[in-house]
Amino acid sequence: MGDNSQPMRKYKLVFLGEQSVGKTSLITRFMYDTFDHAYQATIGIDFLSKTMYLEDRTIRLQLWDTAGQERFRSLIPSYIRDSSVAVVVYDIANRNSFSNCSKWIDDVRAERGGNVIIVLVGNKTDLAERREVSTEEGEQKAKEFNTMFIETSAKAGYNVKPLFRRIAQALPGIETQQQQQNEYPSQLIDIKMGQNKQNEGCAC
Amino acid sequence: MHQIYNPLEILKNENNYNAKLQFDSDVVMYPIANFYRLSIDDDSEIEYTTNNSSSSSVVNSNITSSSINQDDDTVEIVDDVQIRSREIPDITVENEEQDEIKKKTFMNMKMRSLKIPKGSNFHGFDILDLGNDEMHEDDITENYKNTSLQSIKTTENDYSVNKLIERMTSEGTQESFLRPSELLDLLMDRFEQYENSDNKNNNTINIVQLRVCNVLIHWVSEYWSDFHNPKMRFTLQVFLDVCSCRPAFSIVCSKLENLIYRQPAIIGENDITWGIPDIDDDSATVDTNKSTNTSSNTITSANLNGNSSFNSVNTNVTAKPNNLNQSNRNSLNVPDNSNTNEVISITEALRMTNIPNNGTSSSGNQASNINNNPPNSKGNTQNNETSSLNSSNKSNNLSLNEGIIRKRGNSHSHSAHSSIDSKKGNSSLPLFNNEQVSVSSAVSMSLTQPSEFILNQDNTMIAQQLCLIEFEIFRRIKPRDLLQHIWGKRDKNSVASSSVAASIEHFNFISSWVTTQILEHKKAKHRAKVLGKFMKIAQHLRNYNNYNTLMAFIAGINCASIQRMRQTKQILENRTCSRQYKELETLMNSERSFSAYRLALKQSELPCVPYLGVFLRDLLYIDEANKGVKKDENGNDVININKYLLMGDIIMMIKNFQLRPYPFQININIINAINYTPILSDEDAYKRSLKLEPKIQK
Repeated sequence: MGDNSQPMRKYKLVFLGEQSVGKTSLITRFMYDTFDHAYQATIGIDFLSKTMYLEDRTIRLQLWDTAGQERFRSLIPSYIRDSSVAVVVYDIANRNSFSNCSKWIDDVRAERGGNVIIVLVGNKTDLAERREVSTEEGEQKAKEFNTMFIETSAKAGYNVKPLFRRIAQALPGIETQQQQQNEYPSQLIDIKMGQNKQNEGCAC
Repeated sequence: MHQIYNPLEILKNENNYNAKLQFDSDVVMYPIANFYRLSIDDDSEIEYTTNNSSSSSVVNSNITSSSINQDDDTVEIVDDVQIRSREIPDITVENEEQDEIKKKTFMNMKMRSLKIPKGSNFHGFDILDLGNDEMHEDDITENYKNTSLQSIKTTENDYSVNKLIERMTSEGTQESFLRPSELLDLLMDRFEQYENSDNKNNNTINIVQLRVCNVLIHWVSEYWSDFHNPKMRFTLQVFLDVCSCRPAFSIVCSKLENLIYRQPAIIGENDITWGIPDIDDDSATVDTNKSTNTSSNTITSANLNGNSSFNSVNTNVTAKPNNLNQSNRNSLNVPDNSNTNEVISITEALRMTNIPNNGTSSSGNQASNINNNPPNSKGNTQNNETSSLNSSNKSNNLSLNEGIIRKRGNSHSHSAHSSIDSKKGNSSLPLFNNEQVSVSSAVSMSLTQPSEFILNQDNTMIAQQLCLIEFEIFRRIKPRDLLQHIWGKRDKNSVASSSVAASIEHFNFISSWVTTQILEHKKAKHRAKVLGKFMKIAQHLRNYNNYNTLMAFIAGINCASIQRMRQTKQILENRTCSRQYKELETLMNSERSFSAYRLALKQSELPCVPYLGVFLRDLLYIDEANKGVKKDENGNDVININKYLLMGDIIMMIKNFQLRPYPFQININIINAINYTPILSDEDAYKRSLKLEPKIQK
């Protein structure tokens, strides 16, 4: 690890959801703070990592995008397998993509049990006039599956940073439970973090 | 020399241009998928500029490829890549074979020129695996700048066709480039421009005109469904009329003649739910099957003023039943490019297995079940599904039967072209994807038999048959299907591209098949034996460059149901097959954007079936990352052609892999045994796995 001077915890985030719900857009918006054409062709981006500087610590998020391979269902588990966070995205203007979220969440639970943070993300709030899934419904589902929930617009840049910030804040809690199986030195974790309680309602 | 076809000029004349533009268009695919290498205009002078190219003279831009050491995240610059040089050979129409040969040479040339040194990825883009934040933002922009400049430079000659497409329309809600009819008009205009007395008298062909013809022939032969509109066909007929007066055009004419006077293609849902299809002028809606269907049935004899000689041909067209609506356009009357003996023989061999079409009744399926059973089925030919199920489950307490879910092919329908295909000697049958048949025949034979049969077969042989199946499915993917897969999804009502979906379904099936086969055995020793066998087959698949099936195998072996079974895995520990399998896993690892795999693919010789997921992903990324429209230096919106050229590059690569089929002998018994095996759903597989090797309670 090239960063011995300032060791950082790394967390893998996998982005799941139907095709065209905006997984890649969310990632690129977060990474580059633009919606499009900030870069030419993102071929070859498998995972991107971004360092998050929180008040009391610094962590690195590795973002894994399943875009283009959503339908290769037999492959999805391998993406989920060693993820700390699963971001399940749907399009608020596409009910079908919302209904399928249950399946994605099930997949994550099957692979990771309670040992994972799941965030349900309703993307494309900029398409308000074509909305098919209300915020309440999203919240309801999040409650039902015991996940975090947020609505975003990658296009408008709405709630994208808060999404990742909330994920980052929720992370230490889960990692403390994973210490024994984690290859990284555990003394680096700041376990005093308190804000994971309200954000992270997962079943761990 | 001659007038340059300036897209900007056209754009200025477009009144309705200001609306926001999207690129869902069907039509875009012509330049990027097929035509963009065939330039119409020899000596275009138009300087193409992009956002990034302040100077388009960069030729030897070095692309650095950053790769990250797997263990520690140190970034190292691997090496430089020299620019791709693409000579674009002129493809002239001479005769079928020659044309074909040239096309292939052209493909090969392209592939050869794509061979770039180690360290860069397949496409000439670099591999961006950014485990390290420190370097990436700037580097990405820098590298992409270079990449885009490269494509600009190297494709300079290709713009003219695209320029034709660079006229935009915005129609209602479905904004995009062009309707097919508009493209046709533009092509005709282009042809017209080079009409002069010289041409007519000297019996020569202007090179531009010839290229228009080439484009036209290609279009008509590959995408006949675009010409379902009678007006389009009428235009073609008039064009043919013009050409037929000239001896120099006789070859063109003879080619076109065969292509034009066909039954109008049936427009399936696939065609009209994405892009901007041609519609009848009077009908305002696009999305009704009926309107397109009737349009294809009403042949415009009234329109054919002065073309009465053609009427006889057209009046032969009869109304088609509705159940043909969904027939796969690709199988309709399309001349088969990659025709080889192997393919024909596999088609014939499979035809012999009596696979009925979807259109046939269920009773028909039942009746043919007997024939579909593999010959080793030990005389078990009961047609009664339930009874055969019960009787065949004798050995297993852990009954498989609740889990028999054969999901294959649910999302696509390939069939129902019997009436049309029967007219062609070499038709493409729905060989492997007839779910009805698969299910019923699978159910009607002993559940344990196919796996026993497979277990006793030679690994090489099984791998070869898997290659044949995979290639046959892969071969059917047309450029447009790929784009439909990427773009069609934007509209939630659109139908998934059938050929791409078929490939993915097959992928998932193979994974489940592998899992199911292993789980079928009660003893860990036996499971280990099967697992070992599959690992060995995987190695063969890799040797045959069948990466798609290989990936499916890995997904199947690595699924939770198998991985959790320690007893089984322990038996194979330290065996050669296990070690080799580890290497295969590394090869197909998604890390660094499949860099290991991309490298291997680059070095693979044909025949080869690439893993489709990576291509789809790349296409999606290019599509997502690049705007379809951009501003030129005057602030006008122009099509960002580089985006489509980048996508075209990938599609051309896929096309190249489709050129050469595997030269293996068909073993229909093995193919059947694979294809008709019942598979477990993921949940049932996991349940079964838990039963076989229960969790150890501490």
